[in-house]
Amino acid sequence: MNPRAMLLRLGTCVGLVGVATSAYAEDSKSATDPRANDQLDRRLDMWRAELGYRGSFVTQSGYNAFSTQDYFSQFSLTLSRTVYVRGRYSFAPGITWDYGSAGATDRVMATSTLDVHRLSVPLEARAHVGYWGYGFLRAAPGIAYEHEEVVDPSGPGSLTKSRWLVAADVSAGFAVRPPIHGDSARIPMRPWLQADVGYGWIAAQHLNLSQDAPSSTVDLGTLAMQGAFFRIAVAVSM
Amino acid sequence: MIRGRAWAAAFAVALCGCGSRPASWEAASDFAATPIGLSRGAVVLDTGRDRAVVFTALAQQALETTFLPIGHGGITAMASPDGERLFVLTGGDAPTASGTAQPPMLTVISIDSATFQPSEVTYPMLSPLGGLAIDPSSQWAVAYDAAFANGDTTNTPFVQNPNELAFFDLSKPTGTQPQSYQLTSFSGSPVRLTFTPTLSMPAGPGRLLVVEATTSDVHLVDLAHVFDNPPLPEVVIRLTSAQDSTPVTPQGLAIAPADAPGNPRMAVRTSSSDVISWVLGPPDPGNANSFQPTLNVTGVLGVPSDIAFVNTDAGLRIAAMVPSTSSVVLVDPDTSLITTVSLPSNFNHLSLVTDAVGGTNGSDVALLWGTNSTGVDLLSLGVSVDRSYDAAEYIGVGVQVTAVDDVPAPNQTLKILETSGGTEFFVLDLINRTVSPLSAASSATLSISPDDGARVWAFAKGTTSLASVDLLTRQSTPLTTVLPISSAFEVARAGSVGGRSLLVVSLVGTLGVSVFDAIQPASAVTRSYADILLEGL
Repeated sequence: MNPRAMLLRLGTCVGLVGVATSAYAEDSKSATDPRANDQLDRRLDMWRAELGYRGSFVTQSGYNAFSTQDYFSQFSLTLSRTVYVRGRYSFAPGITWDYGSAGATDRVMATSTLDVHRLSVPLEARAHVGYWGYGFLRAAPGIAYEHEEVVDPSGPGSLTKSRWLVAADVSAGFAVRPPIHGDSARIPMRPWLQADVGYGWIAAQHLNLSQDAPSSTVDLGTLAMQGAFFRIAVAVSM
Repeated sequence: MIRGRAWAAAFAVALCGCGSRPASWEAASDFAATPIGLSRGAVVLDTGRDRAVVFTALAQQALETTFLPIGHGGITAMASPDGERLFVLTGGDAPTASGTAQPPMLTVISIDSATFQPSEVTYPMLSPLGGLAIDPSSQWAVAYDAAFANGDTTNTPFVQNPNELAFFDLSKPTGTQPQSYQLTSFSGSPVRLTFTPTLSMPAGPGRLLVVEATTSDVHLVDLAHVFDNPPLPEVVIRLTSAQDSTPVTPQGLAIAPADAPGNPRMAVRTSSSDVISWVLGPPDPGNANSFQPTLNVTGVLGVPSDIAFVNTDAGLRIAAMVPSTSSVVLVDPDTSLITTVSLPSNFNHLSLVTDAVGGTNGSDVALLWGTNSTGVDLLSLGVSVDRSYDAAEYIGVGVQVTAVDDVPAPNQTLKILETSGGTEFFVLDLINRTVSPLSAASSATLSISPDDGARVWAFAKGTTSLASVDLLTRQSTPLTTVLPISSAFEVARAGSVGGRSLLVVSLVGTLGVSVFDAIQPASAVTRSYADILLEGL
């Protein structure tokens, strides 16, 4: 994918987030909230769990063995805790597990699969905007575990490689709270919708897949799971 | 509403509208031809990706894989006799209105003798020609009209001239190649092309290309004038029967040894019971060519199955194998007098083994064999004319001999006899007149070590069974591979240490190769390489 197309898609994602938040902002402006002062601390200082979908655009040629598209889907799970609050700003570290898998049939004969686990520590700075949500910047250093496998009649079995690699993400996004009818102060768990876009990076590795016994190898070049991504998630806070 | 749909469409594009991988990943794993062995490597043609996969062996059973581009379309591939070069003819794309179609081309692949680095040279062509003839000395290659070996008809032209030849002189710059040459036609087309060695022509040393046509003509093309502008027309010999002057078609060519006395001689066996020979003398005045053939037609009492020029105790003769009379007929090319040597069996092939066993007073010794015989015969041509009854020496093996394989020097005194069924083969010692039988559990394909003829590799295609047989001790070493075998090639190994390796190619899936040490092979220390066609995409 060329950079121009990448920027277009990123822009589309940002636009989607913008539309969603602006639409909700209009709704929230028309609402009155007599309990705003009561909810302020709980909105800033919270435990939070996210469950989301992460789509990554991987244009590096090493990924071609495992996917017919330059796109990688992942499931994303994050747990965070606010540890610092100052005015309308807060800071919340956490832990994230992303998991995704891709597979393809290569040259009609071979079947290849790629599994990626990513464990990261999101360090999230939040700027709260009124009653309805907050914007955030997130940097997430971590590690990734990649497992590749190719099965083909030319080999005595499957050729595999597994490796832990350094990883990192940076992203920016917005989280909004859907309107709650009734006495929200008495609801212990509050739902959120959020989206962010950014850039994900996993260190490149040489794809020399092998089988120990009997000795057999294949060299598929270099795999670098790096590229822009977006993530949409639902979350609950308490 | 419209705005909502637009955003939904944008969202779908963001999720799914990413780029796809190159089409080469989707190309089928097709192999245009069987793997081809060279002296320093082996080559598999990956037609799904239009590339040649060149394997070279390194120390410790390591394998170096190099991908070289070849053309599109139909493919005919052939190695030079010395194993130094691989010639790949490709048919190109069908013409397009935009003019972007790839033309037919010849790609010549070689592996450097010092660095073992493969490289290619390409020669674009005007017409897709699927037939290929290679000069044994590797100077010349000629493409001619024939179907491509892989049957691909992608770029079959609407109109084709079957008598067009494309000459490639590999000693000249690529920019001047190929030279188109039109054969004089008598409604036929080329079927066999033979490059002569350097001959003592009337005007001095020279070489010819001899073209046998599907009709009754043989064309003699002077290679010294192919690149003239315009090229010098060839000399055409029309073949007719000695009995009724009806046209007869050529079936195979023989060329007299370069050291034979007098002017150069050649002969063809024909579809009738005739052998037609000619001597290349000085041309008549006004003839643009520097030679002129004088013909001699001789009946040999049956349709010959093979011919060769031989030295006998009575001088130079043409030996014609005549299976219908179980004899070899010796023809005096000057007088057409014949001598018939009766044979103990019905042979239809002969090959000279004089260099291996030595002849008597400069006479030749011929090895005779055939699919209708359960043995071979050593014909001593030194006594073949005066004492023909004493010339043949039969060596029985008990099964039909389907092929006789030469063994390179220094073991050229050995021959490998392949038999019908393939489960038995024999090592024939021409000096001691012994045959050592070797049996295989299933039909075996043989591959003789090209460097020193010290070993023969036997394997059963499609299985993992392999064996190395020491041709001096007849000791067999059983081996096994992890991949089913398609072909095996013993090649020189790269690196300062040198050595030799056996490359076992498996044409299954996306291609596998197993590497053995050829000198001391052992299944336990082999290394295998799989999924090779997934590399380099």
